[in-house]
Amino acid sequence: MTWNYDPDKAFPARHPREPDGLRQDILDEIADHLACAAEREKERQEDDNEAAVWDRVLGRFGDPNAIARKLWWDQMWEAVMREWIQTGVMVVVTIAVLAGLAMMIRLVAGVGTANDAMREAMKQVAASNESLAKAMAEQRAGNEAMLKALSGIQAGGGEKPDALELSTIEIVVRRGTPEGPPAPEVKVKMTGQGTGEDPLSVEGELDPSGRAVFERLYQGEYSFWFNDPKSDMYMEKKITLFAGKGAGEHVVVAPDVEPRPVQIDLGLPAYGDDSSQRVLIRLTGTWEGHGDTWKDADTAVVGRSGTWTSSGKPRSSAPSRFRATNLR
Amino acid sequence: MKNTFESDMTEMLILHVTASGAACGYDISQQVLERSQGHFDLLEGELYPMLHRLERQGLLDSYWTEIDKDRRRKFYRITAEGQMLLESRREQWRQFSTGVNGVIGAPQSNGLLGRLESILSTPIHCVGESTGVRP
Repeated sequence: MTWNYDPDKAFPARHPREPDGLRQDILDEIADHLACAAEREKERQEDDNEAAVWDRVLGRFGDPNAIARKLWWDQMWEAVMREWIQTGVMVVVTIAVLAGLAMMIRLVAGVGTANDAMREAMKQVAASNESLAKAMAEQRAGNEAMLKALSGIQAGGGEKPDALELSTIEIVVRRGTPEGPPAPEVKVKMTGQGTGEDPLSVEGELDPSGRAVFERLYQGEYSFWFNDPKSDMYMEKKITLFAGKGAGEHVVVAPDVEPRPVQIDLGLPAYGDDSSQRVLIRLTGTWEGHGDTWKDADTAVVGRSGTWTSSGKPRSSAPSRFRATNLR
Repeated sequence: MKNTFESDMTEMLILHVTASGAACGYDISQQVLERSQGHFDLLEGELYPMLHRLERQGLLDSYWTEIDKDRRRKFYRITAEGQMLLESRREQWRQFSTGVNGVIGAPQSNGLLGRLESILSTPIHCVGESTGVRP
């Protein structure tokens, strides 16, 4: 008979660093001890009842499985502890690495968001820069044109900038209202003096649509005289032309009022005895149309008494002005 | 659980037994038991862990010997390092017992101190010492 060896109770699961013969050495040592103890017990007690002998031996020895397990642990303690420490360190390091990765991912995501916001802000800045650059380019172009103009002024009769040569004034004459029918019968005359240019006077011809174009004008102020044979009224309009900028289309509205003759009865006292004395009569009228004021005038030299009738000019709705001047 | 004094004492007794010649665990326990007249009964549950610890500390050396076909025996013997420690412990013990004897008088032969001194002062002739071949 021997002791009841239970490998599950005696030893834990095999450890990778466990020496090959460790378990067998422990078991052999315990078995030898128990055998010696049993032999000594038989000699001492002179007892042939082997079961009783072994009961006494095991009762004194204790649980061989527990002692075997303790011896195994004592032997493997350092290796097992080292493994546990390594495992613990690896777990801690893994957690630290994962936490670091998580933080890095969050940082990267945050940086991405910040980059998007920065990119958007940079787009806005670029857009505003573009508009600013555009405005600056326009400003620069204006400045350059102004410099050219100034250079032209300083140079006197020197070469003119193209911007000045390309300026154009376009006149459109309509009857009654700005949307009225064209009035090609109106005569147009332009006078003026551009930069560094001799005074000019140009008779304009309106085309059937009532349009006249005055090209290649330099910077300066130009006067346009309109004479309407239909109403026998005239009007002066001033247009200022800037370098490099066309004056555009100017709509002129000609009078469309009916003639209304004026009859004036004169009974002026004579100075002295000279009955042949005459007076100069001047009758003026105005007609407002589209911001322009047309005028007419009728003059006559008549006797101091009698009736005088005007030539039947329109005499617009505004009151006509009458003035009589003594002629000596 | 034994206290440090008892543990050191047991260590000293084991080293003393093995200093006289290689012995197996059972022989060591029996010799201590007999020479202490039954006072120092080393329980196997404490003896073998202590033997293994002394072996790991380099104070004991061991080897195996075949007893018969299915049985082999492990013998322990003291190393040089163990011998030095044993001498140190013996000296400590003598100083300790001299001091104690000075207070309580000469030790009785059947008292604890007397039995310990008996063990330490008497060379041990190991009955179970192996003459087998060391592994």
